Amino acid sequence: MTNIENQKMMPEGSDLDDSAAQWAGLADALQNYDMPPAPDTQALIARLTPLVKARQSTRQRARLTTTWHTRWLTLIRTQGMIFESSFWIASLLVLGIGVVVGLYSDVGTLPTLFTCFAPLLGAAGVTYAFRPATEGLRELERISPIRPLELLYSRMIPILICDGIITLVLLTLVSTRTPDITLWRLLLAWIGPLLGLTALALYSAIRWGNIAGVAVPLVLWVAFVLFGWQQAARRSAGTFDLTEGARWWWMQANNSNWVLVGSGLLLIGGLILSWETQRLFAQAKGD
Amino acid sequence: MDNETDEALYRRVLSGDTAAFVQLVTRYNPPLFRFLYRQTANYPLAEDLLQETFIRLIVYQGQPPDCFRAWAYTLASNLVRDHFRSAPHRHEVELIEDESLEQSVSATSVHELDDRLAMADSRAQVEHALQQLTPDHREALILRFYQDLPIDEIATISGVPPGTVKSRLSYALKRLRGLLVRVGALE
Repeated sequence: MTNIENQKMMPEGSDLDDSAAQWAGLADALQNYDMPPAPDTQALIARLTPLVKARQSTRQRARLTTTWHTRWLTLIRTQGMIFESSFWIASLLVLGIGVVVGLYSDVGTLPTLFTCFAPLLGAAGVTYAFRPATEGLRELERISPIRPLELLYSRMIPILICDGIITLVLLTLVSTRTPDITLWRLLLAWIGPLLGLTALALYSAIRWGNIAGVAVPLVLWVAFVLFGWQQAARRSAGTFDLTEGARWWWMQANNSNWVLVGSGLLLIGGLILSWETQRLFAQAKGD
Repeated sequence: MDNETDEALYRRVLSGDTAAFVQLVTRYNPPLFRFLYRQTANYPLAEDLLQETFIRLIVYQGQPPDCFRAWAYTLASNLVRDHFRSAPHRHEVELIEDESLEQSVSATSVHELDDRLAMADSRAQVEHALQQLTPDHREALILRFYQDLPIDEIATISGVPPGTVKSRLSYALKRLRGLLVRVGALE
């Protein structure tokens, strides 16, 4: 079936100004390209039908023998194995540098900028680390029994756990060096926005697609930063400057009840959204 | 139910329905084979890639695609790209170059191409002219003018914006015309 019409040969929007007759000649030439017959359909069906049947029995077996939590644990374990030690060392270094910069840089804009852009650096790092290197790999991901979003979950969870442990250790060190800091307040101020934004990203990605999954948390984070900036500037009555940003944030995290309440709400919101995401995900899979 | 949509049939295939699979293969065996054959100009290879395309469609575990036809062509197209990038294919090309065979498929000499195409019939002339195009240009041309797909669907299959598809088509036609004029297949 070579349905070549002359008007189709006229390239749309091109810089070619040849006549229709000229392109018609090309259409005729292309129509001369007749085809050998396609392979025998029945033979192909006979070869591949066992795969379709196997698929049915595999699905039934999988439903009978696995539960959701054993499936997730297996998935997380296998995903955790693909990370090389250099990845964990790099994570430790980045977090360590962040803490050192925050603690030992008394002046300068570096701590503030680091605080503001740390989540973006993390997101960019994860995106880079798990980008499909080739089209072939992208396709493998697409035909994998595990959906891309499940891969994302299972890859993020080990990272979140590991980074959480590293951060806990580092924040403990910080609290010992500066005794006026209350560790649990600091942790809540950190983990609330983290969990809230991560859950929002996953929920948005499932509900409205990948672009929303990136854009919504990003916009919200920028709004947080700008709001914090505005508050800091207002409360300091004009004496606030960029070099004090990180230090100001540490003080707010440690002392302000409003920050505590806000972080707590984000934490609860994040947990609810995570549950809702899981529910949407199960619906989409038909489980 | 012959008028059942491709998407509905594919959903049934994914749940293990062999009757739906028979219908889907009957519908897609000829067009996918034509696409693969025109891309590769090699019957056994096109046959292998066709079978591999159907296997990938069967083993797919994700959510069924919104447009099955575009999805099937995307899989076939990726298989073609993987083949041309693969080690055996590169090895084959290197061997041809090493032995200085004049009929090398990657010949760039106009005279060499002229000699070869002039000896062949019109079918072979078109086939060889198509093989001189870059894979992206060839794919756009085949999908548009032989498989009769709309620009938007080709854009989905190739993973590029519709404007890029149009410019690829424009360039492919221009180049193809030049090649065919050179060997006397066109005036």
